[in-house]
Amino acid sequence: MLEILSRLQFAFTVAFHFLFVPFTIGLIIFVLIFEHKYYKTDDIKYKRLSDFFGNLFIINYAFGIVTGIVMTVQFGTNWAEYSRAMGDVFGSPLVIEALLAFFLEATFSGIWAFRKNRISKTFRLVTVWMIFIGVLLSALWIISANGFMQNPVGATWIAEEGRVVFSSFSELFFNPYSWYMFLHTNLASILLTGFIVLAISMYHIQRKYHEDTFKISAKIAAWVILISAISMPIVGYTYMNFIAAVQPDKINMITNGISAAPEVSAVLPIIVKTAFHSMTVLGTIFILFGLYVVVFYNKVHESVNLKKIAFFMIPLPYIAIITGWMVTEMGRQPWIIYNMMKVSEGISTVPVSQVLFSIILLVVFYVLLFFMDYYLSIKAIKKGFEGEN
Amino acid sequence: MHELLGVIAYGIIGLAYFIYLVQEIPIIGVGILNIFIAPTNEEKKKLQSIAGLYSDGVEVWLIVAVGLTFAAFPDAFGQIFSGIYVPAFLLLAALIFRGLSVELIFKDDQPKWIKYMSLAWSISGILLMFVLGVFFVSIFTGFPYENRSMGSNIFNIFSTASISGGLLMIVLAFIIGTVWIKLNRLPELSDKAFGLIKKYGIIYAVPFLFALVLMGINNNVVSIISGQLFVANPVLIALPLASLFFFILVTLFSHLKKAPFIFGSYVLGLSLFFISGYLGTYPYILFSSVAFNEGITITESMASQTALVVMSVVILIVLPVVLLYQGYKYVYFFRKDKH
Repeated sequence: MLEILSRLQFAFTVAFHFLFVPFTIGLIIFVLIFEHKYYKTDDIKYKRLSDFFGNLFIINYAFGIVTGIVMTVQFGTNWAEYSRAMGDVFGSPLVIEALLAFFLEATFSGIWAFRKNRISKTFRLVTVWMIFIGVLLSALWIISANGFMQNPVGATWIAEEGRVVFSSFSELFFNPYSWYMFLHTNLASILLTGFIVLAISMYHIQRKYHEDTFKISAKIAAWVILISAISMPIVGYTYMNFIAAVQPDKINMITNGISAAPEVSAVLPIIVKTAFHSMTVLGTIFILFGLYVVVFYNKVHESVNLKKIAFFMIPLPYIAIITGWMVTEMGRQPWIIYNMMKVSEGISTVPVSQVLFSIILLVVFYVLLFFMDYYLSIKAIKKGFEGEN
Repeated sequence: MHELLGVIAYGIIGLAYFIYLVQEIPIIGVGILNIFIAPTNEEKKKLQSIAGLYSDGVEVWLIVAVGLTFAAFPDAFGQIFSGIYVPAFLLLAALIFRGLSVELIFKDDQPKWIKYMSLAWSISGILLMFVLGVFFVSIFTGFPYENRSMGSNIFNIFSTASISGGLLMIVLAFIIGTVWIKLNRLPELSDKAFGLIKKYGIIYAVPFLFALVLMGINNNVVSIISGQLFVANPVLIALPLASLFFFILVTLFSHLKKAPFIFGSYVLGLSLFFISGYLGTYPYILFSSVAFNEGITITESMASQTALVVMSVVILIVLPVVLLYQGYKYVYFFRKDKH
């Protein structure tokens, strides 16, 4: 019971956290593009776009941060044994992430949120760059920790102590698994954000609100969708070949819907297989959609139906991302650290009632947070540019 | 070498917690005060602007301290946070609502939204201060830790000393929040805040609560000065006494409304308190208040030498840079906001 609850809580909190993460990763790239254009051309249109999407970034970033802290503390509260076993390796990336990435993101997003209208153009650009670098570094380090759990290199397992001991920083850092994940995840984030930016731009174009300005963001979004959608399977294919060598059981689950591990129930590999194929079908749809929008770009502005389609497409990249993570995380069961430590060995011994308490608390709060984020984001989108309605 | 790196990591955890708390108290204080002194949106926006600009950057120090505990002392990290399971989730709840409310309070102009958000801003601040106070006093005076467990009673980390610590943080937030408003040149609001903290006697509670923390009246018999180093070198007792002295000065200067002096005494008092606390628990990273030798020491739980070397190198390079640009941010915006 304790194990199931701990797993449930982790799955729930990490999935919820990941609603905000990819969107903010992608958004900061869009904001960086607009801010650069504004810096170079002095064209107010780019400043408007930068402020508008930057505001959306701040809203979602706030939710991402607070749900992220839950993850850090949760390793201690619910996964004490895992923390003890894994701390030697996981700790360093986590500390580096906080020191290198979080400080940059947080210090400069404070400036962006509260002083962007009172600082110079150059300072604005520097601020966005710093947030962007922080966001990328943050993704890199947390993924290198996850990459280690998938493909543990750069450390040795000490069986009698039941823990890993760190041996090589460069092996940990250059773990190919992590770099594949990093590329794949970032591309997915950019793709997702492309869809959202496109839908928002189409919405404003249709209601003839600053059409010229939103045509700029719609065009960029269309290209972003196409390029990232085409890159996904290219990266994904080489990624798969690599996984075949280090996690053959995962490939077995993906292709045959079965697992060799006796602890794994019969249903799990089928879920993994279904998730994988859903992801690839969605990926194909994204390429076709991207092609259509780019090729028929001039018609796209007039099409009311396409506006609707763009809007209803938004959940699809989210589903693709979730199914991707399901393949990654369910596909490595029963291991928490691949071939070293099992998930069941990682949990804290805490009273079941306390875990129930935290799950209920988190579910209630997160439902509230979801509606808050949705409400504020929609409101900000509909409102348009600050002071220009 | 290995042990030395462990001790350094232990010191840096203490330093990171201190840097976090010393900045968090004024910012949280501003948030708590908002429902008492800032009825209008315009006033609330002023408070939000002087708190929100820094709040995210400050919170990262907490993540660094917690993350470093995980990295450098994995076993102690797991034992502490699974031991204080319920308070840890209360801390998270407070952090969630503090983080959101300060950022989002004016993202919607509906009066109801602003009302609830400003309430959340204040209440989450009070909760955060209380849980942090309980947490730090427990770190310094020990957790009820025996046989690798803190027991299943979720209230067992609450003692007279730790509750006094929680209340002390709330009281400090009121006072230092007031000072922060004053230092940010918002005279009307700081006058109101000074009126409030003097009228209700909040300023007089500081030395009293701090004395209760020092006395370590606990479920047990341990106090901040019962650790190895204090027993071997009784002269160290001067440190907590000096911190008590500075907390008395906080009250005195608050009475006189001397903002820079209050702030200075507060920083000195809090830093001496942290130095005393960390010296007091040495060599334990998880200090047991029920039986000394049940605690987890630095050497017992420290990570491998490779891991500690990697962390030390990163910290050595990055930490000064972070301190520099965060420090510069204060200087830059203090100057800029002056005009």
